Amino acid sequence: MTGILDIIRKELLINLLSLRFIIGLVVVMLLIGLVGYVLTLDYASRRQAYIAAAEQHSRALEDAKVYSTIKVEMDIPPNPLSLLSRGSKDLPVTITVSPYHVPTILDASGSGATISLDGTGDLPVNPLLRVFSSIDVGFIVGMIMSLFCILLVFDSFSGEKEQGTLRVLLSAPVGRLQLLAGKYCGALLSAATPLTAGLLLLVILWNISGLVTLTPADWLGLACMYAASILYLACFLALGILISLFAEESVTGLVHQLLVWVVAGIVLPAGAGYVAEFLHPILPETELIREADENYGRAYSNVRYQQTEGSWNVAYTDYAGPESFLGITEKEALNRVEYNKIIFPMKFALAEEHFHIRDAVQRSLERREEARNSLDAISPVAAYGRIVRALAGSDIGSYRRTFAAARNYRESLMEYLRPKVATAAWVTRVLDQPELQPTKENMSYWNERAKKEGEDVFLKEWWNWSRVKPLDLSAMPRPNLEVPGLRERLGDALFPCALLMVLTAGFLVMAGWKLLRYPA
Amino acid sequence: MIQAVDLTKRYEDGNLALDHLNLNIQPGQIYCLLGANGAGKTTTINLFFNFIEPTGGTALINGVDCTKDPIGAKRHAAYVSENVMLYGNFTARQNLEFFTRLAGRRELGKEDYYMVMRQVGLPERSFENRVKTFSKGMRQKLGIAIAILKQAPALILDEPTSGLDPKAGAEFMELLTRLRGEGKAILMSTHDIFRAREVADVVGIMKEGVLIMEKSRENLMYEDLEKIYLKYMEV
Ligand SMILES: Nc1ncnc2c1ncn2[C@@H]1O[C@H](COP(=O)(O)OP(=O)(O)O)[C@@H](O)[C@H]1O
Ligand SMILES: [Mg+2]
Repeated sequence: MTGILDIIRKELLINLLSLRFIIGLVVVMLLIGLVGYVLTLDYASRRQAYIAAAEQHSRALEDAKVYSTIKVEMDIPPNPLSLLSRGSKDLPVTITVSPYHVPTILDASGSGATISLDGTGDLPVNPLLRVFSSIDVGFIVGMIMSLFCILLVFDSFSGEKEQGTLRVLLSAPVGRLQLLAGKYCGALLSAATPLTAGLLLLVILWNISGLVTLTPADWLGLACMYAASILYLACFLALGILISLFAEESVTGLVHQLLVWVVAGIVLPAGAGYVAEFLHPILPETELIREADENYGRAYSNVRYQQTEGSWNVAYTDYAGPESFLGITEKEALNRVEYNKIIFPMKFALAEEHFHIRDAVQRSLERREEARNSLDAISPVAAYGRIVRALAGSDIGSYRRTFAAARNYRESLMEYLRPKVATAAWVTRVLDQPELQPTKENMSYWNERAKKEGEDVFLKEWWNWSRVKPLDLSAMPRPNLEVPGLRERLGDALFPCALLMVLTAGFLVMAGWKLLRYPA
Repeated sequence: MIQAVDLTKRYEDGNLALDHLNLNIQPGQIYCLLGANGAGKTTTINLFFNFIEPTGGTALINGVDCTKDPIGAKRHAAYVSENVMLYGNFTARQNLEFFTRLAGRRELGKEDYYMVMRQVGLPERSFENRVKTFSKGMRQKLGIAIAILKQAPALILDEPTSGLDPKAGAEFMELLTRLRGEGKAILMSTHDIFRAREVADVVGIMKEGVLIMEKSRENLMYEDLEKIYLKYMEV
């Protein structure tokens, strides 16, 4: 057993003294430090933007004057762990919930909700982010550290054999499996060194700069991510050692390993993406939605025709600005209430119909994702990417949960708004405030003033929308999106983790089997 | 101490490299294995350390089967190859320390390593030099230092003096006789008939995997080993 420790020590020392290790260490640490620093600034500005947006959006609700235009912007709080895995930049930071729109993950592509933050255009934009936006710590470990692992072990056994040291090693009373274990652990420690150093560097940076504060759950998530990264390196090293046992010469071993790296890291994931796209074509969303809209349009015209007996009246205009409803009579307003009782449920039903179409598309996207995941399942690179994105909450699963939470919230919002449907439009607010209606007394009073102060007094002072009192929304359910819980994220990471473990164990068993038959 | 019983090795390509070899080397004996290139000497030695597996027979060290219990057998034997290769980035002392600890001796200090290096005749200034700067003779000496520190009762060497200059070769042989004096059983393959004659207690001649002659020192006294060797090679 102590023999293993000696071998581990020797492997570590040999690596520390080798140029390839020093170069790898410096490159990885620099990259993690640099990318981590840039992403830290990015996270800080996203966090700031989130706070500003959340504040602005809750203030917007305070001034709401009609139920029908209530639109709730749900801001997705940035997850501190997304520092390590940024995810796609196209993913939304705000989900818009309104009676006329049920949020789905498709909103991310801009079909419904706002992706950009309104009114926060003057955010400090980090120019470096443009360069590094697609590179995150997950990418560095997934692609660059795996390359580093290959360089560490491509000649693990073939090199010792060529060098002539393998026989000296094996003349000692150590078992071959012991030798394998020692070499493997030594390589793992060597590979873990730059990762650990890089992450420590980042943590120190966060502490010094105060830009990132982590909750205990975040620390736990970070620890899980570290563990997953070590597992990934372990998997790649096991694969590397296995290949080095099959290669006659170190050089061919290196070539084979680079080939495996390209296949596992690039060919398989990209190929799986294409095949999955081919297997699961996305439904023609826009076409179906246009159809639904046309059906709604016909039904809407019918209702409108019946209600107004063919005549056009400002009271029935849905899309005119609020000012056009001021100054209408009480009778007109009451007619409008009756009309609303029919038209708003139709609008809500349309939203539901849109949702069903989008939901089907959403599910076909999910099926595509599942197909892709099973197609490149044997690639450790893909599995690791999945783990990191799941833990960082930047994968499709986390967004699915976030949108489901937004839909749940919309349900409670609709429960609150539905009974208010009849009074949900601009025009009905006039009913609350008789002083705004064109009664005889009001008319004579304002005509008097208009004579003295000029005609604009009607619009400036009387029919001015600012005179309408804001709604009392104290009973309205408030939005609250949280960073998805660690437990759920861990759940998502579990399967790819198990996959990596199985792969690693498989590679090691095969390496052991081969080594026992390896002519020294 | 070092024993082969009907030891046979046929390589995967069908080449019968070793055919029913029988050897028995006692403590305090030097056994020199002579033979042309490709006679099967290295194959024999490799079998004792389980570098390869025999296709028949058994190799035993101190009574331990080298195939069934390779770790147990290797505890009792030290190995010096034709061309000792060590970790070039390690110093002589670091190499010595690593392999000695691996052999199970972990109680030694720097001075112990220096002492052995002095004993095998390495120059003092090279103790903390990287091995990649070493000449072949120095590496062979370091190899035997590793073997000495293992304190194994059996010593198996594969052409340890080939390529050494005469002085280094002579020093090496002197070391071996000293180790014999300590009671070690020594198996050494070599091309060097003169040295073999000088130090060997038993000489064996191999040809195409077969041990065709074995003579003890007493029987060699009045014969010319070179003539015998060449005679056997002819037939
Ligand atoms: N790995 C191998 N595979 C096949 N044949 C081998 C192998 N190693 C050695 N041989 C053959 O076995 C015979 C004995 O070789 P070896 O033991 O190296 O001879 P020596 O050490 O006496 O010069 C030779 O014919 C050689 O070609
Ligand atoms: Mg040989």
